[in-house]
Amino acid sequence: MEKGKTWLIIFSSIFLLSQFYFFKKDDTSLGILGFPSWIYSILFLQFLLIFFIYLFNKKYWK
Amino acid sequence: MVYIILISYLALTFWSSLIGSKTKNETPESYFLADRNLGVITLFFTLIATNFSAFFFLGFAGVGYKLGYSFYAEMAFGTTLAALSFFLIGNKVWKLGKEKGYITPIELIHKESNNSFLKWVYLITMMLFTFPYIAIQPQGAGILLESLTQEEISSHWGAILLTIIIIIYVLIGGMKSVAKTDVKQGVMMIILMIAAVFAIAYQLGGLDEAHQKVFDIKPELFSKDAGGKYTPQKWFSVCILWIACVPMFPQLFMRFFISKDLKTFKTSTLLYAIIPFFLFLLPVIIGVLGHLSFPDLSTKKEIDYILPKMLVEHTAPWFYTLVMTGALAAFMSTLDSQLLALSTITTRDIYLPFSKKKISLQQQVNIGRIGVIIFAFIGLIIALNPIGTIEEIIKMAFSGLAVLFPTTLFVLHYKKTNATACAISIIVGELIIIGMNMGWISKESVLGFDAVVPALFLSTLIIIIGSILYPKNK
Repeated sequence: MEKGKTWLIIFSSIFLLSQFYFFKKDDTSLGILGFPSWIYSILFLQFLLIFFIYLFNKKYWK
Repeated sequence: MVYIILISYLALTFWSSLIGSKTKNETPESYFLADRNLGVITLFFTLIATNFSAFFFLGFAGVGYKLGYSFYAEMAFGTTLAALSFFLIGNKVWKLGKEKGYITPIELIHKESNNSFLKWVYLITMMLFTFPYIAIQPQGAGILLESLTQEEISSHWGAILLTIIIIIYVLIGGMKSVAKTDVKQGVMMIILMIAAVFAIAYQLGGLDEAHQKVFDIKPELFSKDAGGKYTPQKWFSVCILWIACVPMFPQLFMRFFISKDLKTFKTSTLLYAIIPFFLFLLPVIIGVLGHLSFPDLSTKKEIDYILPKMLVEHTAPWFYTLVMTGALAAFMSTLDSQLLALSTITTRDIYLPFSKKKISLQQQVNIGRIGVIIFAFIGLIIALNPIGTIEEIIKMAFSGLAVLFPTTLFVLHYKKTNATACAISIIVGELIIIGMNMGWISKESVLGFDAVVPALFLSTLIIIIGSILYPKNK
């Protein structure tokens, strides 16, 4: 149960962090390949989420 | 050329379904769940081909044209979040399915909660909100076929023709055929979409240059809030919607039963979490670049067709036909799975409980087959007399299904869940969804959130309070 709570906190934190990123006003500028530069922070968040999903899958669901 | 490509694609689809049907389908588990024996690749492709309907091909590019890259962020992040809910629900569903032989989501909820009232509320809600989604598949496929054949085949006849083709291959082999064709259709969707982006970007002088040109005329397409259209409430609402609604599609839910083991399910789900980050970007790029070739599109139909317009403008006719056939594949792979899921539910959860005599397993399969035909034609009738635009239908159907999420989660993970509270939570949640869509409840009264947020909040609260006050005795 304790382990379950830890995962709940981790995923809630990533979710809240994503909301913070989405809310945050950014200057619109172009980055690599002409994509908006903020898209790379969203991609980073997505990788973070996938990484924790991977760990969750490996460590929690046995 | 158009007909050669189309006929080749349909022949390939039939060939796949025939391969899928080579093994006998004499038991419900075999026909409806492919013997619970799918491997990683098949399960992964059947998950994405079933979930990414033609909205992925046409709708994403259209909304990309309107809102720009913020829409990509919403869809990609939301779909990865949905993979998390696959883990929360799918693992337990797979285990229970294996142990107790469940075939449908309703069977699982009914037996695990031991409550008939909840069963019927859950069943009616699931079917009611899946029907409109079924109807938009032939509706869209018909329009696509009309455009592909330059109106030689009308959208009505196109919808009828494609529905009949789908009925035939679902009847031949059930889930095995559907899964086999999903793999081909999924691969086709991905390869063709990548090729389309490369071809268009190349014609426009490369991604860097093309982006810069669009940025000069429409900088709001590159902003995170789409020029003020994405409020914090909107972001929150869409993230919550994807988490709750995707695993509740009956055609997706049933895929939690069919993996050959837990490891297969976990690996496929992980791949499902990864794929949106690059796949969803592709149609949105085409939508954004569409402003260079078609800067002043205003009607919804024009905007929804930005992808075919860009292909016609920048690629050869054979390539355009090929990519549009990929869109057709996306329509078909979603519709076949929806038909199979609803016919399974009808056989197992409606016909069997009311049938006085005992029916054999083979008879159950045959009833399922009749169900496929009936539901396909009901969907077709709705498609020929549409009840709203594709966007309106999707919005209502997805939110309606999302309301089932708290009940599913609690029944699976909390033994003291009160089933009556779950049933009440679904009814209250749906009333909020309908009330907000009909305009009876204003958006301001729920702090600017979409209907799904207050509906899920209240539903969850009802289950928690009900289960604390009247816990189920085990």
